[in-house]
Amino acid sequence: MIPLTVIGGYLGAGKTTILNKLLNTTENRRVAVLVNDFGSVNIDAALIANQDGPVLELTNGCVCCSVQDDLGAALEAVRGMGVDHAIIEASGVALPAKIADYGRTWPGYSLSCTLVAVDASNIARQRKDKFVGRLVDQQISQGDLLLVTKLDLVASLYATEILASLPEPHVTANHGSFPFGVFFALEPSARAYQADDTHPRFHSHTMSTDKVTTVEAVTAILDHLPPSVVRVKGWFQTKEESWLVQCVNDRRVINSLGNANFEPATQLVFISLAQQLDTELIKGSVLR
Amino acid sequence: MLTVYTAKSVITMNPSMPRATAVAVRDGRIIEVGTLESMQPWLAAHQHQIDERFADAIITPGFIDPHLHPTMAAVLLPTHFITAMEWKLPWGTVSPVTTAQGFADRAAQLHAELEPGEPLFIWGYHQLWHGPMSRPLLNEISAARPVVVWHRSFHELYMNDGMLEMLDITESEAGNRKQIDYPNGHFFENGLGYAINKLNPYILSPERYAEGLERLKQVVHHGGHTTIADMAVGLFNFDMEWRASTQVLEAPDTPFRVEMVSHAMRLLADHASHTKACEFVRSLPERNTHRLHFSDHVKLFADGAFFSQLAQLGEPGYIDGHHGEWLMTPEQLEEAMRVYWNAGMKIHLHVTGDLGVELGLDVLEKLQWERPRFNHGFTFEHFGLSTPEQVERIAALGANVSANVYYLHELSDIYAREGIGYERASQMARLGTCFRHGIRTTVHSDFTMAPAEPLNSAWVAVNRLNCEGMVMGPQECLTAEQALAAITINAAHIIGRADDVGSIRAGKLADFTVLAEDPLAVAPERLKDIVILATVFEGRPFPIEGSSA
Repeated sequence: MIPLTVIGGYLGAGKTTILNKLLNTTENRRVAVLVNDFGSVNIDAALIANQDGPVLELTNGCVCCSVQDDLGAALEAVRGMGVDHAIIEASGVALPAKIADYGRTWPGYSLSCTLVAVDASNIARQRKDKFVGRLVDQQISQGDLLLVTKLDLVASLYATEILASLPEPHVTANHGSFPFGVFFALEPSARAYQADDTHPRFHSHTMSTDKVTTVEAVTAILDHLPPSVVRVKGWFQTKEESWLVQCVNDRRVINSLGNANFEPATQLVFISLAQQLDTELIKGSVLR
Repeated sequence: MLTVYTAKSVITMNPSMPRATAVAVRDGRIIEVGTLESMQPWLAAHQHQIDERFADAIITPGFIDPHLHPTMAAVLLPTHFITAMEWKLPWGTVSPVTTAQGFADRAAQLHAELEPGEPLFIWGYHQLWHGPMSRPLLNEISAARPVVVWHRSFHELYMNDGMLEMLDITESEAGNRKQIDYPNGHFFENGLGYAINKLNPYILSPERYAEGLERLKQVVHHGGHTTIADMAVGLFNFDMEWRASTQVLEAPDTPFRVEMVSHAMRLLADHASHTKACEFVRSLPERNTHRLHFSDHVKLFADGAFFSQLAQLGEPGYIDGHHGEWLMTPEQLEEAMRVYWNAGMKIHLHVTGDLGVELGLDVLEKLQWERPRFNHGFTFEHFGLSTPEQVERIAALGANVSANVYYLHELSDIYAREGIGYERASQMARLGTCFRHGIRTTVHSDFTMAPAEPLNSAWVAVNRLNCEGMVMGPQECLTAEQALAAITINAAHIIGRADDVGSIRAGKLADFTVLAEDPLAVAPERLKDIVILATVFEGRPFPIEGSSA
């Protein structure tokens, strides 16, 4: 069975940018990307090993297949190519859950997860749009994980508001970069315990305390998190000042916020592929 | 040599001379319309013959269906129909089958008639009448012969052992999958997509497709058409469809012409950009043949299928709270429309719900602001639901309406109860308001969505009777004259052929439909029952078999 990931989201949400980045960063993994049309995918001509109709074979072993209104034909074309993973780029008007059903229906495939890209700079307007507001809301509600793009185009105060308006879990993916691991995180064997596919595959765990801590203690926690944690965000307070934490897989940003005061003093949210995360243990470590 | 056809009455649809009793024709064109006396100067000057075979009949302009899909028909028509409703087909009327036993008996009979090994494709099953369906039930008819039973809605199908084997669909591959019930041979939703993918080599094989087009030819002739528009060339495969059309439809025995309107979104896939696709569309008339005609029309899509309740509705939406779908994003639609609008093309936009109409109007208004055009030919296609305010905007923006009025007949009863409520269901196909606003308005079958019978469409538009016999929205009824205009001259305008067809006047092509009774004089409820005796295509009569012409 080929694990299948769906990336959905409205037009302009950054799906293609993310897939472009992904095709250039897959290591030792043969990925097939099923896109709406080649035109939008920016593939370096030097990377193309072979083209056969709607299928492009790349020199790194990856495959790019144009769907052209016949997803079934594309799935059949890709099926026999010996790829490790397939990713469908849903069209801007598609309901991601509907596309994800292909992973449960089409012989030879198994559903990995559903990601939905969200354009932070336009989402507020889109959700109020008379034509697509309901569609965008539905798309957002159907992601196991939201990939929030273009957050850098939004004024920082407003960014917090926008992120707060989106259902958890979500990660930011500026300029197409984000933890690509989530595309492949859920191999069928790794999620065998999940008999019911209707659960979100990502889980949010919150740790909060009114006590102050140290940068070293938080850093130590982040260094030793289990690999199932793909994202950490939040803040903490030391004796001198407050700090903002943003971690995406191995990228980590800890910024000083000066003497701003938060309530509670320390709060960290962990987005994990695992249902269980011992936040009490983490709290103990932070306060050590 | 002139030929003069005489008739009890000629309904010309030319308002300057609405009635006549004789039409003179030469080389496929109309020379003179009037009476034998009034056309004496022509007759004195040229050799002529008087053809009185229609002397007791009514001649109207040849009927036009401005929106149907030969591709869909070519796939459906070679199948065997077992249906709960009667279907009048040129090769025989399909009697209604309304019980499970009746279905099984009819299927067994078809099995007995076919050559051994030949696959049996059945269409029309519906559980409300025919009871449960399953692979074991089909195997009782025959496990060896490949059999497919297709649901009336096209949205699900069943296969027997023989068909699963023929298509090499094994339990290890298709067992235990969502939307595939392998033990019962039942495929639906995405599972249907899988089944169709496997069936495509058979249902789209050139021989079978050609056979389907041959049957479509008969259906179109029997409906009394002399012109149809293929409103989505390239729906399956542009080159294949074009090739098949030139081989089957461009033939001496074809009594109609086809206006070919390209499916712009399919073209986009092959041509990288709308600008390139638009250039391709502009080049298409170079390949025109006598009957197959490309011009400057193009098809685009807004919202989902009306039959599937996927039309996009404004407030208050559907009773059960579900939403319709967009077939492309409003941004993509606007981008495509702008390219074709600025290229001076005539855009036909598929809209089914009132929110779809609203989107079309908003974009059209923007384009009119950016680059005003007159006679731009923008047409709202299908027009299931709309509001009176939208009709005013359509008129103000100079757009046309081409409605599938049959929605009202087949769906208004069930949609009133289970879709959108009585008020809006009774106002589907708001055609009376369109005529009151002077909008160029036509009706179509979208065949295979409705019977390809213009008189039937006209009958629905005039009487607004639903399938339960209730009048729905009587204020929106058309007069018989308006309905006849809809299926002749208005349709001709909307597909861009009004200079050649759609009315009977000197200079136009000699396309007629010959009726046993006067559609403007019969009781309105009998419109659909008027016998069509023959058509005349470019001056040449084509009798309709079984009509006793």
